[in-house]
Amino acid sequence: MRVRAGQELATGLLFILIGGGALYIGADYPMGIPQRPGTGVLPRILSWCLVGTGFVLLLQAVVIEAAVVKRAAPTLIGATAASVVVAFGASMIGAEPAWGVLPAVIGFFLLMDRVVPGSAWRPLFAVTLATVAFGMTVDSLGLIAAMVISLTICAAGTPETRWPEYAGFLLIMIALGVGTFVWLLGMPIPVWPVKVPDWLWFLR
Amino acid sequence: MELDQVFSNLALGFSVAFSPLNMFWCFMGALIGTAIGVLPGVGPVATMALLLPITYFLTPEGALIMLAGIYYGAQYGGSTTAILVNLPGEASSVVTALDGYAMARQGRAGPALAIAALGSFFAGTVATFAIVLAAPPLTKLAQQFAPADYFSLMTLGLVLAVVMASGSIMKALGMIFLGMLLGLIGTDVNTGNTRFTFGIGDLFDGIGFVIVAMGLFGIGEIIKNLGDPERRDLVSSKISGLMPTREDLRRSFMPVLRGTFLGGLLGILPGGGAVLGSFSSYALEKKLSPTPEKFGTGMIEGVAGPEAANNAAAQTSFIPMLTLGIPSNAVMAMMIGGMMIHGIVPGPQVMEQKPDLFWGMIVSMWLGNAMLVILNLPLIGIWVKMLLVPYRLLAISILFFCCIGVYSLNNLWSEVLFMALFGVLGYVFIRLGCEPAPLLLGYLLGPLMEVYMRRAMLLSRGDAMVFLERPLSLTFLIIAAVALILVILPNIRKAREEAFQE
Repeated sequence: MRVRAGQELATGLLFILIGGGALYIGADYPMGIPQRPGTGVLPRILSWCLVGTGFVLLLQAVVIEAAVVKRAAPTLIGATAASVVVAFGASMIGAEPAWGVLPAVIGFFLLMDRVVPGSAWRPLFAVTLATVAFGMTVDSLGLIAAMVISLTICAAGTPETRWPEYAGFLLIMIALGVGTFVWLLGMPIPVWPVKVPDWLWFLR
Repeated sequence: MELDQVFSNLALGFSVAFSPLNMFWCFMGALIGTAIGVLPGVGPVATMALLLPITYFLTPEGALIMLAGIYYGAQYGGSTTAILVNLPGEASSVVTALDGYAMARQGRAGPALAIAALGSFFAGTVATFAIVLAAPPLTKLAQQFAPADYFSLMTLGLVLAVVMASGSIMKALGMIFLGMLLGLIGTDVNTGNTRFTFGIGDLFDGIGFVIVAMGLFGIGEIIKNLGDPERRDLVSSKISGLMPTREDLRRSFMPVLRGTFLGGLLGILPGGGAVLGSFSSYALEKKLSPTPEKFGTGMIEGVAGPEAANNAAAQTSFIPMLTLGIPSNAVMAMMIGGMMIHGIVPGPQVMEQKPDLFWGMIVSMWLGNAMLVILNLPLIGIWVKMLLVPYRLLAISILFFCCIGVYSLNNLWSEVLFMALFGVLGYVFIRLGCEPAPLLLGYLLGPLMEVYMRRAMLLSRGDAMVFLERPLSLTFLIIAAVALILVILPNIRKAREEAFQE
């Protein structure tokens, strides 16, 4: 039961966060007239529904186990405070106040880990980073380099990886990947490095 | 409808499905599907998402035939490992493992596998005929739908998806709202305004369906599975003699019939599909049996019923997708994604405008089922060997196929990054116990519902009562409301929770 209360609480907060954000962003979308409902009608309805669902979930969490609030409170208050401070600070120095979202997101993950223990941080970071790495390298460094970088990061995501076995498997995957997608299907993907990636502008 | 029309439709279907190339794709789909079904941790939805970009290189018929093959192939593969090594490869074969594995331990794996395969084939054949008979009248009905009716039908579909979802109702509801909101990202086609794009140019066209599906189902699952320590103890049992005894056949006959009927019915409902079919059938057989306490100790009824039910449900869940263009579960959402890649708008017009595609696909499902029976029984040894591939290597290959698949869509690196984002979101949903399937349905239906809402409002000159004045629309809305109220009522909710716990 403990886990379920935590899940409902975190889900509720997530829905409120996203719904609230969508309401804020969509505040100036035109509503149109009844004959021609405007851009803002459905987003607004859906956002309110999402926020409402979130509040019901919070309520359910408290009904299941009131103590869950106690577990969540420090992180919740901390993240909210950090988020306000960052947003305010950013607007003071002339930057986007939207930077306040960053501590809110980090805070959400910490809160989720607190109320639903057992997050797989290592695979989470490794797999996400591996995916991002592939995207950031494939059209500049080519398919082979992108595969080596991204798949190695992914393999580092689990302690079960046996590196000699991985090396052999990587070679097979590269042969398979280049063979299927570039030669067989003829996709316009560079195999070898063609340029310095844009995000490494300082190396140019 | 006249009988000769049924036969001419089927004849057309046979001519398409039996063309060598389409037979090859059907075979490939069934083969890949079986492999996927055997491997735990790799689901049919993720696989179909992975292969969607590749289907771009196929003909529309070939693409859909292959995608469908993956789905029912996965059901077969899932039950094979459920019986042999007590590892249900798919959620729908969880109940098969109960009695199937017990039979295998008694040295009767052969008959269990044979009954599972034959029962599935029988159910698949019946369900194919159900589609043939149900599709034309339903399509005709759908052609009379006004925009308001469509809007209400989609509302009903989403409500039923919430009702059928296992777990919290509020979570499923929220996931639908969230999915619909995500579906609105991009340019509003009616007004040209952009929504939730954050000024990012690559978001003006919205986020591709494949990206969302691969992130949620592919990447999210990799993270989750890598986090779980691997515990796969392979207890291979010797398979001696596939032939079921006369007694086995006699005892399986009625469960297969009941399972086919029950599964076929549940498959049509949105949110239903194979999982619900097999669970309900197991519960039903247990209730009807004179010796319910023996279930779990190797009762052939407990294999025959659920296996027939999950296959029947897998087939009939195509009905709403093919006739109304409404996906009833995540797999059907993938099929719609596959159609849209080829520029086919799913809906009642598909049957008239692309009869070869429509009937070819239906017949191919029957053909694929037959192939599976012939192929699978001799290949069982190979499938069990596949379980020896460790997940640490599987994870790497799935990640690569996700990345290259998304990148190959438009050669946009930014889309790979969006997929990473949805992967994180997918993992969060798994942690929070939120099923991603309702989100996917909302994502597909949200923008469509907006289009129909706008048309309905325009036609009624801004009178929202149009949704209540049209009889069809009103009927759909009433069913939706009743379903929602019923599921919230405490005692039914309790029964529902029990059903999902079985």
